[in-house]
Formats: sequence, C-alpha cells, structure tokens
Amino acid sequence: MRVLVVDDDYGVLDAFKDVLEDEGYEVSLAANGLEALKELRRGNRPCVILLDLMMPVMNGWEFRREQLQDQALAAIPTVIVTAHNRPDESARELGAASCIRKPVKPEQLLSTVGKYCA
Amino acid sequence: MSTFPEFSRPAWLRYAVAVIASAAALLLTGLFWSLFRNIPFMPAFLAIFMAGWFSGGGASFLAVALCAAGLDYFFYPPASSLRLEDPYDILRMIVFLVVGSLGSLVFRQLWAAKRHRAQLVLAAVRARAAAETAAGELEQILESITDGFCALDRAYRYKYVNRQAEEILGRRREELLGKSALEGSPMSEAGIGAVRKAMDQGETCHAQAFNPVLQRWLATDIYPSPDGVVVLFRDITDRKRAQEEIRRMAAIVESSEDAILSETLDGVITSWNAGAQSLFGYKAEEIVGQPISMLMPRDRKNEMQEILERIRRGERVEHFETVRLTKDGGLVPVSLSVSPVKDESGNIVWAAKIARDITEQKGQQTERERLYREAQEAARVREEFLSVAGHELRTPLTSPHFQLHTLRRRIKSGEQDRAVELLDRAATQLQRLARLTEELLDVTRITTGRLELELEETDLGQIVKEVVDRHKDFTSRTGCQVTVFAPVGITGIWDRSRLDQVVTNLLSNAVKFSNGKPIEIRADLDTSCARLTVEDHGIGISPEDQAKIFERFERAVSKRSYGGLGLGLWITRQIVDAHHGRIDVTSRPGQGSTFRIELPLEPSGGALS
Repeated sequence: MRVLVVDDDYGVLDAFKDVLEDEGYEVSLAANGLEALKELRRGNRPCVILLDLMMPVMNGWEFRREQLQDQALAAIPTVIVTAHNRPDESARELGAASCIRKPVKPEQLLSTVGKYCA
Repeated sequence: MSTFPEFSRPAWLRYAVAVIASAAALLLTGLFWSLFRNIPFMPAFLAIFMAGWFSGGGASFLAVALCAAGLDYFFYPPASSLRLEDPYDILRMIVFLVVGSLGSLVFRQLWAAKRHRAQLVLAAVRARAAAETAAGELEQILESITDGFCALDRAYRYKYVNRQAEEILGRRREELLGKSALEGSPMSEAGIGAVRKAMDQGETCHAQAFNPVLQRWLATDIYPSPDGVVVLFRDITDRKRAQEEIRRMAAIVESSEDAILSETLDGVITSWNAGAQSLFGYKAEEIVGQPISMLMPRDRKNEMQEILERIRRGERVEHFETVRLTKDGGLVPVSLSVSPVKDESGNIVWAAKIARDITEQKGQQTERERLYREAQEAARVREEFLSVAGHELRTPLTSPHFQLHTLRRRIKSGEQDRAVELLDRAATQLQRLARLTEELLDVTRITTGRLELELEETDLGQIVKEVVDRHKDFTSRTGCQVTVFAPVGITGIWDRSRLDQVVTNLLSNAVKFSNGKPIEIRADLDTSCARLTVEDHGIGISPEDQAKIFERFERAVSKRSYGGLGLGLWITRQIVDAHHGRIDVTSRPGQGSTFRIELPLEPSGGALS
C-alpha cells in the first residue's frame, strides 16, 4: 500500500517517510503539487494522499483543484496535513477526507493513514 | 352780540321808536298846549332823548327832524304849513335843531362807545371760552401722550403730573402735587441735576440715566417755563436693553474667530466681520455690496443658489462642509451655517452666515483616518504575522517527533544503522526552530534599539563559503545549483554572526524562490567597501513589491505558496543599515532577482536604532 506525502519541507517528508516505511507502507514524496500530480500520473496510485497546503510552485489548493478535475485521481482520499490555523475549514473547502494539524504525532498520522489503507 | 339786545334790534324797529316817540311828543304837546305853550320843544326833547337812548344817534336825528317838522306844521303860524314867519319862531326852531342835533351827536357817540364796549366784552368772553377750550385740549393732550409730563414751580413743587408720569414714577398724582421734586421724589440724581440747571439757567436740559429707585432707564427733557420748568420723560429701559443687546451681539460678532456675514436673498454681501476678513482676506469696505459668488470656487457656483433657495423657504443650513475662495486665490475648507433673517413683518429678508475654517479639523480628520488605517493595517499585519509565525513554528516541530519515534523503534529492534542521521535531522529542525525564535527576538531587539553589533575583523568570502556549505543538502534537494564567486580575504570590521545571518537570509530566499534554477553568489572588494551579490533566476519580484519587501511582515508572494515569517529581508536591511551599508534589489518578474549589498570596510556605527 502506497502513501503519497506532499510537503515542501524536506524534514517533514523524510520524517513521515521513515515512520510510514517502518510500518510497511510504500511512500512516494513530492515537494509540491506539481510533483505530486506527476507522481500520480506516473501510475503510482496511493491509498491516501497526505497533503500540505502552503507550498511553492503548486500549492495544496491548486493541487486539489487539478486532482478533482482528473477523473482518475479524484477518488483518492486526501488528508490535509497543515500547520494552518483552521485546518477543518480548509479541509471542508477542499472536500478532503479529513485533516490533521501540525505538529502531528506519529501515532496520530499512522492511525489516520490506517483508516484509508487497511 | 346776543349779550347786548339793543345792538341786535333791526334798524326799522330802532327808527320806529323815533317815529313813535316823535308822534307821542307832538300828541302830548297838542293835548297840553296850554302847558307847553312857552316850552313847546320840551316833549320834543324827551322824544329825541328816548329815541337817542334806546335807538342811537340815527333815530335821535330822525326824532329831531320829525319833531321840528311837526311843531312847525301843527303849532307854529302859519298853521298847517312848514313855513315860519316870525323871526322869533325861526330863531327858536334853529336853536331846537342845533340843540337836538348836538344831542343826537352825543347819542351817536354814546352808542358808538357802547358798541365798542360790547365788542370788547364779547371778545373777552370769546377769549375766555377759547382759553378754557385750549386748556381742556392741552390737558387732554398731556393726559394722552406716552411721555411722562410734570410741571414744577420755582420752588420745585409738582404743579401738574400726567397719567403717564404716574405710571412711570409709580406714584399717584395726589401724592406728588404740591410736594417738592427734590426731596423724597422718585427722580434720579441726574434728573434732579438737570431740573436744577434748567431752573437756574433757564436752559433746556436733557438727561439720560438709570434711575436706581425705579430700576428703569429714563430719558428726560426739561424745558424752562415762565413759572418753573416742565419735565417730559419716558421709560427707555427696553430700548437701552435692546441697544445693550445689540452692542453685545455686535461685540461677539466682531470678536468671533469665525467669519460672520450677511447677504441679501440675491446673494449680495451686506455685512462682514473681522473673522471674515481674516479668513477670506477681504476687508469689509472691499466686499460689502459685492456678490457672494466672489467667494465661490468655479466648480461650486451652483451651491449658492441651492443654499439661498433653502433660506427663502425658511430653512436653516447647518454644518455644510464645502470649500471657499480667498482673496489671494487659495482654497479654504469651511463649515457653513446659514440662517434666514426675518423683518418685523416676518418676511425673510436676508441670510446670516457663519463660516468656520475647518482646515485644522480636516487635517486632524485626515490624520485620524490615516492613523486609524495604519492601526487597522498594523492589526491586520500582526494578525497575519501571528498566523504565519504559528505555521512556521509548527512545521519544524513536527519532524523531531517522527525522527525520535523512528529512532526509538529502531533502537528497540536493534537497527541502529541510521541513528546518527536521524539525530542530525532532528538537530537540523531544532536549529531551524532556534533560528525562527531568534528572528522573532530580533524584531524586539531592533524595534527597541537593543540589537548591538559585535564588530571584529571578518572575512566575507569565508562567511559565504560557510553558509553555502551549511545549506548544501538543502540546496541540492531543491535542485538549485549554487555558484560562488567569492575569494577568501574580503575582510572588514563587521559583526560576524550578523553577516552570516545576512548571507543565510539571502541564500534561503534565493533557493526558496528560484524553483530549482541556478543561483550565483558573488563577493568582491572595492577600495572602501565590500560588495555581495546574490542572483537567482526564479519567480522575480514585481516593481511595486520591490519597494516594500524590505518592510516588516511584508512578502511579495502569496502565503499559500511560500512560508516564512516575512522578516528575513527586513532584518537583513536593519543589519546592513547598522553597518552603514546599503542594500537594493533589481528584479523582473519571471526572470529572477538580484540583491546587492555594499558594506563599508570600517563602519563607524555600533548599535541599531
């Protein structure tokens, strides 16, 4: 089962990758929305996308728009992982599966991912 | 001459008396001829006397003629003839005629005297009646005039007091008549003085004074009269109060700093106070009579008609803020209040206008609005900053949790191969947190002037090298190729750690916004300064944003795409300024940005202010 982590912070990408891989997930990383779209269109379909919102090149909002417009990608559950003050609001706005607010704990992340990647 | 009936008798009656008396005399003479033989003229003289006494000289002459003719005809020979033959008879007749005529003349004179006397008496009676009428009329006039009237005799005693005087003085005339005006009188001292002067010098005197007894203002005119003086006085308290009120109002108007003016309903200026002169620059003599449109800027001429139209309808115009033209052609913001002014009949005749200079008020209002906008903007920026700061601090807090979680799990399972790498990564995130915290503290240090430089000999080239090395992993993961043209040995007296901060900020920004494109860093040395250039080929900065990127909390990019506190370039500029250097940027959107810094080799300053 694959998890796609989209975040412009390499520290976050590496940290998430290590924890998720230790739990047996395959992990794809993308530093922005554009890289994430490329990864998805490469055919590596994840069971969940962990999406940061504030990113250069293509931010989370722009990525979500592109994703929802793409029939092949629209159904992939997307969890917003953001340091934004009101993540619930953003998640509703973007039609996301759920949201997690940074700083997030490993157990919390694994539990959330577990819901979509059982 | 109804008082004298003898003068009212008709002439025929008077002459009839003469005829009857003559006839009676002739008859008496005939009847008693024997008695009157020797004095035949005696009855005739009685007739002449009677006619003269009762009917005057004319009737007496008639009686003389009739008696002479009758006696001659009836009693002197030849009988039944008017002829006289006897010389003695002729003589007697002549004597009779002469005496009778003289008597008639006497009666004539007597009647003339009586008539004259009667006329005099009549005239006297008429004069008295006229005088009585005049006195009555005069009294009527004196009682009906609105002035108080008193007549005083030479001993200053009241001889006459009219009704109005009673009212003004508050005393009944019975209380005053015969009493002295000088003692216990309701007259004021000024009034008494004027009365004395008129009495003593025989001059007309006027006095206008406040009467403390009556608590009224009285205007008094005193005229000398043959037996004293007459005093005319009137209550002018209301007039005085009105005058006082007018003077007070005029003083207020004249001393007002506001422009107060009046104009006709056609817009012609009729009055102009000192405030108006100082506000608009025109003197009263220059502008009274001129149209109010002189004060109207070209684009506000229609305001005058609108205002005057409202005034004609009896409406007030209050606090109408507009602009007026001054004599020197300048514009002054004013607040106008205009009121209709009515005449005694209630017709609106002109407009009273107060114009207040609101330049200062406008300035204050603008300043208040500016401060309010600034405060709102500051609040918004702070709110946004706190939101961004929260975001920026939360992200690096995430990674160490995960790295420690992984490390713990691996240690437990005996896999320790990447332990050091994981610890290094956690340490990097903690350093990042520390740097963010320092940036926040720098804001306080800089704004309170407590950021001090620790100056020492520092090599800029060396610092560039260290910073680039420190960020090698980061830059390589973003795909940026960083090229450095910075020889070691660019030395100056600078704060080493602050300069490191400057280079770090510029490099971080370049990487952040270059989108993986190459970055060049150059440093070189001039005779008096060192230069540092950081050039990227990324998204660039629009010209309008270039002006504000060095401000606190400002960012040229959407915070949805790029994180950061928005403090890096501001702190960078503060540090450069503290070194008496300068920083600028050239950039074209889509083509990248170049930041240039010049630092004097030996800055004289120390602390930031």
